[in-house]
Amino acid sequence: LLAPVPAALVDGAIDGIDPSAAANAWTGLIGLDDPHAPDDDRDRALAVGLTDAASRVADEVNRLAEAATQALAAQDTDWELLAEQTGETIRLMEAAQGASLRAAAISEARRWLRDLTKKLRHERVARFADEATAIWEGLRRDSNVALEGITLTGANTRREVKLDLTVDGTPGPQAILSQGELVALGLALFLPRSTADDSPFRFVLIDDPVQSMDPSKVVGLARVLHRLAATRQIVVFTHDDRLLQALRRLALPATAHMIDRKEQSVVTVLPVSGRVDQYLRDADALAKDTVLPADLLAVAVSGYCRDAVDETATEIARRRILATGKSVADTEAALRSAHTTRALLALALLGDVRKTSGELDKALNDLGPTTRDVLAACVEGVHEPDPARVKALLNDIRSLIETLHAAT
Amino acid sequence: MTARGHLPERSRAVRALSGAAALLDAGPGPARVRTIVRLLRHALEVAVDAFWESTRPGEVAGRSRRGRQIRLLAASIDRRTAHDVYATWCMLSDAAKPHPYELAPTVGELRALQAATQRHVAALEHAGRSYHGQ
Repeated sequence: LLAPVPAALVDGAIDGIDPSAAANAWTGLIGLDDPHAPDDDRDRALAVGLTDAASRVADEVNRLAEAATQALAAQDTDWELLAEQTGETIRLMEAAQGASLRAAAISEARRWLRDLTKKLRHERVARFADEATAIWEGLRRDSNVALEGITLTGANTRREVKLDLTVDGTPGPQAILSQGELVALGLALFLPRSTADDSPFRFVLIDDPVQSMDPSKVVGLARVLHRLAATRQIVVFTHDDRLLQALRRLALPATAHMIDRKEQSVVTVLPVSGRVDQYLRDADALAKDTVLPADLLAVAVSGYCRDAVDETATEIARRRILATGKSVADTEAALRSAHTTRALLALALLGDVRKTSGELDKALNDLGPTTRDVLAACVEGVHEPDPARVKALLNDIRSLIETLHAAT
Repeated sequence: MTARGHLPERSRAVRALSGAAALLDAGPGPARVRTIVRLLRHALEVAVDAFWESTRPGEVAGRSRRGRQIRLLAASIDRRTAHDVYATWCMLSDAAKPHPYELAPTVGELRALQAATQRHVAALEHAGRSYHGQ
């Protein structure tokens, strides 16, 4: 009945059962049945042995059942964790699926926003670009570098301004620009931004804009600033008096002050007058000076008066020639061709440096009966001074200068 | 006195120099500085006129711009002196014009210009005399 040992005990198919110990125990049971013993002893021994074995089997089964229960519980714990993770994964997947639909919409919205920003930026820059190009045209004068357009490039926090520059119609690198052209280009970019309608500032401060500029660009700058000054207060700091000269030569209104800083930063602000005023003020001061003898005083005052007339005639002639559309260089060349006071007056009153004789005399007579005498007194006074006429000469010259301005 | 009732050229140059010296000694204020410079330039120009009138009467003086008259000296007198006369005249002309943003010449610079002008007036007078073998 008990032989052989069941295969399940021998091959270790049951977890938690030592196959050799189980086989030994089974073999022990087989040994309980002694066929040579009397039947009663044989039955008793078998009954006791089997009872004992049954008790051990029950214990073993209980142990196995306990182990199986624990193993099941452990597996449940493992599965619970996996189930939770799987559930979370499924939830995320479902959320991602929903989000991907929204992401597509958001991407579309971002694309729209980016394109719109680009378009708005171009529109904003285009407004400045047109103004900048116009200012550059006003400033560049004799330069052969043209500003064709301005575009903003870059994204996020990176911004670049791209300038389309051409040299004689050919796209050219910025490296070929002179220092004066660079300054002019900087102003062409800065001025439209600083005078934009949405700027809260109704004034512009510019520090030393004329540095490195050639004379024609200074004239261009004077015109540009004058145009901007129609709607803005323009304040310029400079050590270079060419801008003020250009404004005066173009008869453009400007107020000039000289800022003088002495030791301990003691600052004085004085109005700046033109050369003509300065000559006449010097002559006035000299006329009151008692150090010089009368004849030398008359020589010096005549010199001041002559320079005041020359400067007045130069200013009028320069304005007259510039108004005809001639370039600054041609205008200055025409002025240089006038060597004498009469030649300057011919250029100022008649527009022709050669008309220094009869026609000029007639033009001077038309200005007043004493005009020619006053001129002669200050021109010849340098060589033949008349000490008695110093004060009268100063008054006459002031009147003559007013008359010259009024007549032109 | 000359026929025109005025001092001869040399005397006029020297007189202008003395006037500049008087103003310098009196202490040059801003207005006086430009007058001093003008008198020095006047002295130099009168000396140049005198030179040309004594060497080439009616040919140069009063017939071209002052700067050109002075540059022409290089063809007639020692070139170094001629260049110095021109440089001094340019400095005096520049200083005589009002430049609101530039400092006026200092007393030291004025004295240097005065010394140069005196030297040039004397050199031009000497050159004029030498031309006639005096």
